Amino acid sequence: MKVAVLSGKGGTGKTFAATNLAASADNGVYVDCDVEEPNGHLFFKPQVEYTESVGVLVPQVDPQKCSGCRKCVEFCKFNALAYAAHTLMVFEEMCHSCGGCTLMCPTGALTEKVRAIGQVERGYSEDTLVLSGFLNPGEESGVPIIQKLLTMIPDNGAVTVLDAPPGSACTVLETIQDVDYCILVAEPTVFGVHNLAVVYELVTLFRKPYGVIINKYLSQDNPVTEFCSKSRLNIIGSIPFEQELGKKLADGVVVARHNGRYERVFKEILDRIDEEVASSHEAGAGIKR
Amino acid sequence: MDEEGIGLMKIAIPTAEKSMDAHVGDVFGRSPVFLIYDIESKGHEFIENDALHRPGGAGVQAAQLLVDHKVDVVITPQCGEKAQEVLRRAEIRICRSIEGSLQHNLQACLNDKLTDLEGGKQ
Ligand code: SF4
Ligand code: SF4
Repeated sequence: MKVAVLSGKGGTGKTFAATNLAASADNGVYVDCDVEEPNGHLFFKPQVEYTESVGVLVPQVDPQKCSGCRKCVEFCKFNALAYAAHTLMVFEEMCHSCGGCTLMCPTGALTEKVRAIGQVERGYSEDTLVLSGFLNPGEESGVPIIQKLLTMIPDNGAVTVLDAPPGSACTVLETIQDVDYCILVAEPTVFGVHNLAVVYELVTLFRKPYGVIINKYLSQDNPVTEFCSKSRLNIIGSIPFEQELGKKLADGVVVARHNGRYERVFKEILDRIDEEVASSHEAGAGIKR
Repeated sequence: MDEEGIGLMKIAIPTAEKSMDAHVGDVFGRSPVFLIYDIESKGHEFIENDALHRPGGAGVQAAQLLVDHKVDVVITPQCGEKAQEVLRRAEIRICRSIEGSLQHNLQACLNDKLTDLEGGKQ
């Protein structure tokens, strides 16, 4: 079973929920797809056993062969190329690796080379397999790193929790495309409702089964619960707010491993998702909206 | 003013309106229009910026546009790093704009009253 954890904005407890869910499953898998700000490894502190650099193809120019015709500059829709003072300039970070300029070049001055944009890591933290992606600072798109991470997920049916990037960018779409279920994490505030609406729209658009987890839950009298009951969103769990929790999080520990009450909360959420995924498979994918 | 001593030839300024009394625009890459002023002939023209409608990298394309118009100085409140790289490669000087109209900024430039734009955006 593959589950993605989403939130409209960072800092709402998305990584908290994702790490604890993965840790609460037996031999669970945690995949940190929030490659711009991967934080899961700070809690899991995995023993890293494998790392691999992830790269994309970008053009490089041989100035000797370049005639200055600028066909490549005109072709590039992403404005990754410019021609000034008799030199072709390549802005590698803006290149989307379409390969078009190399094909267009009439003199063969352009060839492709690999440019590293980040890396992936695999390691264990107790019985949890931890896969993390790291996008180098200043890079535009983490999609190639997420694609690489997805290929590293073992095909053994283990409970796999994907920590999605915040918001609804294309990296989030990449993350959720193959999952069985999406968890939407929200804080019980007015802002929480706004952020929830962003990801709710996304999962309904993609017809993914989903459920809401309310983080820092104090009482049922809150804007998120109200929004969910009005718009008929399915709430699958609430994580109570306690002082002690803040301290544990600050110390960078996976709370469910040290606190039986929290472990039960997350295990119950997993059980519930398991049931919902099973029934949505029975009913046929895509019917539940 | 220029190291060759022949003086400046062409000055470009981003703006939202095609009028010398208009204010300097507050963006570079996504500026709808650029004023190009020719010091020698004292003539000027307003050129439209297609980069405005491109998905990304508007700054680089706007810089390319000015390079292609062979400008020597750009007066702007801000300019992205990559656009600056293109302009600097073509040895175009980038000056920080001041309050007031295009006309006022041109005059200040001709009187060498403008400072160089340092650093990236904002
Ligand atoms: S298409 Fe080839 S020859 Fe023409 S400017 Fe680009 S690199 Fe140079
Ligand atoms: S590969 Fe595509 S995106 Fe990259 S510089 Fe060439 S034309 Fe532009």
